[in-house]
Amino acid sequence: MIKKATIISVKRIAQRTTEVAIKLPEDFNFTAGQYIWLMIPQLKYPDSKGNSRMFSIVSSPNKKRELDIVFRDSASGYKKTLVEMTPGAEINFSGPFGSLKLPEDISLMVVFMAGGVGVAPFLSMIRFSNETSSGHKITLVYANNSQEEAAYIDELSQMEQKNPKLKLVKLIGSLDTEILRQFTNNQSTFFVAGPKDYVDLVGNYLISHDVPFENMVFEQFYPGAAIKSEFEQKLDSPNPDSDAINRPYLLAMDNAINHIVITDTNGLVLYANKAAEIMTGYSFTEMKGNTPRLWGALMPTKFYKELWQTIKYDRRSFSAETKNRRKNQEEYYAFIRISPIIDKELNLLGFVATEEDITNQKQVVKDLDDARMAARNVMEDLGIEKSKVEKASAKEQAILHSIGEGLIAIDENGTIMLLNKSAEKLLGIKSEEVMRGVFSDFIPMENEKGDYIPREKRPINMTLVSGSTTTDSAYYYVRKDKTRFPVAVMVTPIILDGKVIGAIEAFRDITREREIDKAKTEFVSLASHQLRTPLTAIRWNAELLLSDKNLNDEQRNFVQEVYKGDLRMIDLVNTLLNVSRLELGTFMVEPKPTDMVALARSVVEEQKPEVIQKAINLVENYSENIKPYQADEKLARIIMLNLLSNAIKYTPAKGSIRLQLAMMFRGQTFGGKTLNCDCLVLLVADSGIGIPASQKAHIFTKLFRANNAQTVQTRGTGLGLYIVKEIVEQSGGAIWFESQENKGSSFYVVLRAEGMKQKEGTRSLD
Amino acid sequence: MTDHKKIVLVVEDEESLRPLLRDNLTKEGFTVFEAKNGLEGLDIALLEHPDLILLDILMPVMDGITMLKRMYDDAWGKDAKVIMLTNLGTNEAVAEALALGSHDFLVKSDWKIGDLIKVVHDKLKE
Repeated sequence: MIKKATIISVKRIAQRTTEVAIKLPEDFNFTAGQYIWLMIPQLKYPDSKGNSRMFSIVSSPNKKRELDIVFRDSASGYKKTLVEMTPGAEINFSGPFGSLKLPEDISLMVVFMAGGVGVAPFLSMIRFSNETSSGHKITLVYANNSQEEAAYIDELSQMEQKNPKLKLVKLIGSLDTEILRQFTNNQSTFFVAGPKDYVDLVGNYLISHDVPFENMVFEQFYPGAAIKSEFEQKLDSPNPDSDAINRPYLLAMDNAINHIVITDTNGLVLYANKAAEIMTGYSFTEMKGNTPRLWGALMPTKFYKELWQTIKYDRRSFSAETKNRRKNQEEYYAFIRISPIIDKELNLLGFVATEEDITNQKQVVKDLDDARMAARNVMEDLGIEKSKVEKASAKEQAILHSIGEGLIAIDENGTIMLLNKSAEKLLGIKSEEVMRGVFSDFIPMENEKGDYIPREKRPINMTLVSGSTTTDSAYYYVRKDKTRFPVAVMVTPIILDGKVIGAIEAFRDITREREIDKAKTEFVSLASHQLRTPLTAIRWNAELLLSDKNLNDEQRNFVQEVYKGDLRMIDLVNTLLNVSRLELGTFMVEPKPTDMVALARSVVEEQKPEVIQKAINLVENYSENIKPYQADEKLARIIMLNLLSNAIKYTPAKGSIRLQLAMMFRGQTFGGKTLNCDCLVLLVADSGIGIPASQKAHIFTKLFRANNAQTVQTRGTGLGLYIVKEIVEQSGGAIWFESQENKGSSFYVVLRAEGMKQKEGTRSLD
Repeated sequence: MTDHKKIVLVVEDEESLRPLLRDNLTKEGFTVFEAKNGLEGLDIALLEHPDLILLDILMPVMDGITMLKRMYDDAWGKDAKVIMLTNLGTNEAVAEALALGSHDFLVKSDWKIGDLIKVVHDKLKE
């Protein structure tokens, strides 16, 4: 940004030395040691190098609204114009630039190596340090060709006297580098500014005395009209027509798309082509007098140390990747190559540097890395997902195989699709052997007797056909080794879109269960046998005794009691036996077409003695429409007998009982309920003692006898109704009652018209 | 044949029951042989060819079913009249026995002794 200013004064302050004070329009901030570009709006005297020059600011930053610059007079059009400028004249400037500044660490010794007007930035710094009492230990080595030319000497001497931390070393004439010896220690930071030769000389001395690069700071331009090397002169020829031989090369370089910069031996830019200007954003003019650190300086110090070592002292080319910064502050990656320029006499004339903007490649590489990382993450995620799926699948497999039950899955054709481990074990086969085979061929089934069960009759097939679950526990599976085991089978259909596409059978070996059941039933049988035997002995002996006419009445009574007691016991044992069979579910149901009316009549006939004895009015009511009913006679008998004997038991003398058997249809009312089936109904109603309200809930429970029943009739097992209910319900029917205490009870039994379901079991009920 | 006393064989292991049956049947005018187990029963049956056998099922040494089966191997045995007497309920083994031939099957504790004797009479008349 170009700022406007005006000239305050133009003064000669020493031989060939001019100081210009510039008025700043507003507050302008800079740090001591920085420089500015000073632009003269209109050159009085032409100057091929243009109207801008760099100058170190010699005044302290504390001087408000003014800055001073100092320079050696010269014949350049610019300087001649400047020297003749008058106060109030307009002048422009831009800046501040430059990184020369006092180190922050005040413990470090600072050695300012000033050659001539190169003292300018140091003076700014020294003045500033003084004003702010910064505490820096400063040694100024100030070299001039003559006493007269040494500007600011008086001021500096005075400052030295006042400030113990400031040391002034005046050098007049050419520099004897031996003087420098006293300063070359590692604790000092060397700042070097002055004409080119001076800077070269000092620089070389310092380097050869192992002063580390980081301890050397060079001003970025040479002040004043330096003596140019022939090389530089040729490079910078003002006459476009001269050096016609060299011009084509320059032209070529200018047109090259590669960034090319030529610097002097201190790295100061002598030439920069268009590509370099474009790449760095700086114009050649801005670059001139600067080193490439203008757009660099982002690398660690070590880097520059190595760079310098390689090109200047090892005189080899240096190549590296760097990070640079364009004028617009945009950072970019560059591949730089710097080569020393050496003439025939092996003089180092300067350096030629190229830069390749590799930001894109870097970006591509970065993008590639990112993509690779992303891909790797995706791969990892996939891997995780995959292993999750595998794990889940493995889990399912594990579950499938650890299920104790055998599992067989077949398709709609009966082809075996799956066989789990348990199935393999139970059947003694390997799934590979039977997979894809037809199940009925490979897994034979037979019944108790050993008859082969054909495919159509097998539970798994029934499910395929019916599409509903089938259970069965009557068959045996035959193993590969021809041994067999009883099996409980449950088959469920696999339905897709309403069609049966297969079935899954779960089966288990019920040998143990059968054995246990067998043991239980045998125990029950044995127990009942053991109980019945002495009961039989008592019974028969009592009967024989009773038939003896020689007993007196009293004796007869005694025997009667014995006999009655015994009959009760026999009854109880019978009932217990039935109950145990009901509990075990091992009783069998063998439905046959039964004449239920005849059955009812025979039950009534059995109970006749009691009915007559109690003078009970028993009415039988059998409807005409009762067809032979599919029933297990024994069970049907038990139902009727129990209900009737209860009615008789709990109805006092002269009471009445009604027994009704009928065929009824869906929708009709029976016992206060609407029938939802066509069924056979049985009613046993009495006018007896009834069931108290509080006892109604327990009527069907095992061993329960209502209290009022107990007072009437101590005999009674409390099992009768339980048994009836179990039989009725296990036959697919229903039983309920209505009752009022002291009025009577009505028991309603409903049996499905289809009859009792066939049930395989080990026993029938007695 | 009315003079000929009918021979009844009682095969029953229970000491509290067998003598009772024997005595009562003898009182009725039958010749009664008795056996304590199926093996004894088999020997006597094949030897004496009784007109009726009252056969208990649960017995030591040889049970009633086995005796029945063994009898069936004999020409005479096949047609022997047998009433199964037991205090076991119905079970498959018994069903098996019944399948061999139709015999009556009585649960002892459910029967009055008097009625039992009547059944014996009826069976012998068949």
